[in-house]
Amino acid sequence: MLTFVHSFASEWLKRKRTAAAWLVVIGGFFIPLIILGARLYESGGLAAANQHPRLWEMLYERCWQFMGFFLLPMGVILAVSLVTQLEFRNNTWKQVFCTPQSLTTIFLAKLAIILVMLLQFFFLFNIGIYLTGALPCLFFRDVHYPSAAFPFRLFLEGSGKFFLDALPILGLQYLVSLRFKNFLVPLGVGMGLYVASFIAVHWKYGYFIPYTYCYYDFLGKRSPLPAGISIHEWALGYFIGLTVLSYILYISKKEKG
Amino acid sequence: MSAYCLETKDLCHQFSTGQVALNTVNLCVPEGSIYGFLGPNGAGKTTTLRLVLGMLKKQKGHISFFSEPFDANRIPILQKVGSLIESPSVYAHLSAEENLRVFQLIYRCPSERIGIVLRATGLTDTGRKKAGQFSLGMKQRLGIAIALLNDPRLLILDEPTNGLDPSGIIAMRELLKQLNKERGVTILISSHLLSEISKLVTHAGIISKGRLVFQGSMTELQSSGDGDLETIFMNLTQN
Repeated sequence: MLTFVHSFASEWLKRKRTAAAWLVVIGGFFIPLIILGARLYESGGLAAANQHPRLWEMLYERCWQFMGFFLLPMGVILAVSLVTQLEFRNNTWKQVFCTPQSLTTIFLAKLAIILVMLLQFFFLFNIGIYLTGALPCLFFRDVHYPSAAFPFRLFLEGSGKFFLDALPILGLQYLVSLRFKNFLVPLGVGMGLYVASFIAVHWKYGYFIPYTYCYYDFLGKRSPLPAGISIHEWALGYFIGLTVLSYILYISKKEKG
Repeated sequence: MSAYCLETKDLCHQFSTGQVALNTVNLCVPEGSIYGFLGPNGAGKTTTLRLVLGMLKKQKGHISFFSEPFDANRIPILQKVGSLIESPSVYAHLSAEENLRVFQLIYRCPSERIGIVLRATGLTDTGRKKAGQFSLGMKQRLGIAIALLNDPRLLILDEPTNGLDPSGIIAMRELLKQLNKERGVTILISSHLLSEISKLVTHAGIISKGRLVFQGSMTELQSSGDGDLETIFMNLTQN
């Protein structure tokens, strides 16, 4: 366990100043900043809007509308590829394999970093949504802090669902990024499946494609999913399956580094 | 107990193309020696070193470090081995100190080791400069600093002078001599240039076309044929 903790700390240091680390921060605040900008620009109705009993729900829906089906899958594809490809890009796999840690530790530490970065993204995104509601009262005298209570449960549940939806994308991108040295391969696979998911989402077996779940969640009640299908169970199943497959391929690689 | 830090028995390797890379290589690196692993380009030096460090899947033969089989003791063995294989492996977006911190966390060695190896390799003045902005020679020195970080009992260096200027080569030679003399570190160093490492090594192994054609002390090498070292080396590798 201690070996894993040290390996995790080492991996965490590696992501410092990387494009993936910036992507998490910028991606987390991107949509909330646009919404905040729009709210400040149209400041006429702000005072009334901030007293609306469903203000937080409305902000939540506006932010997730763009994030859920578009930016989240794109961000996961990019971030996972960037984090995993760090070793290929710097020619450091060989040095990592010569360190006193098992291949399992290396595999799990990298995966844990990506999962923590995804959680970090969700945390920042939710903070961002909160700020879109809370900040305007600092800029205008007649605008008060929102009167509605902050719906923690809605935010937690919503984020939890989208987190699960993103896991299969993470799993497949991790597998491909560990396997191929060329950065374009994981990126191409990710983008290809992402585009395919748009087309397949209205097909009755669209849920077979692991990149469709964010879109299904975004559609909500309008989703054409057949009755009885739980996309979250499918997402979790895909993630576990892809991670196991990824691990087997990783440890059985003939040439390391 | 064997007096060898590293020993291979009947080590063979064949590439997926069918080409034989190594043919029954029996490498014996004596404890406390500076072992020069020599051979022309493509002779099998890097393949051997990658195999002994577990970077290539072993097909046939045995590898043991400090009299213990590598397969069953990979982690405790790697804790005592430092390595630099081919071009340096450094994270371009991190400073020299941060690069060393990445590995210090894994080796769990004292933080003071970072300062020690930075001084030993002459990289103390690099400050916050990112490794990506280093010259090839500086990257190579950082690679050596990483290899030295865990205060290894055995140091494996594959062509470590690549990219170093003449003064860098001399400084590195002195550093390796000092490590061997003062700290008793066994060093396995590969090169395709005999002249470059003949001033440094106590023992040599010469590989040609995947076969170990000579192994012994430098005195034995000198008395194994007529002429100077270069001529002996050429004769051994061309036969």
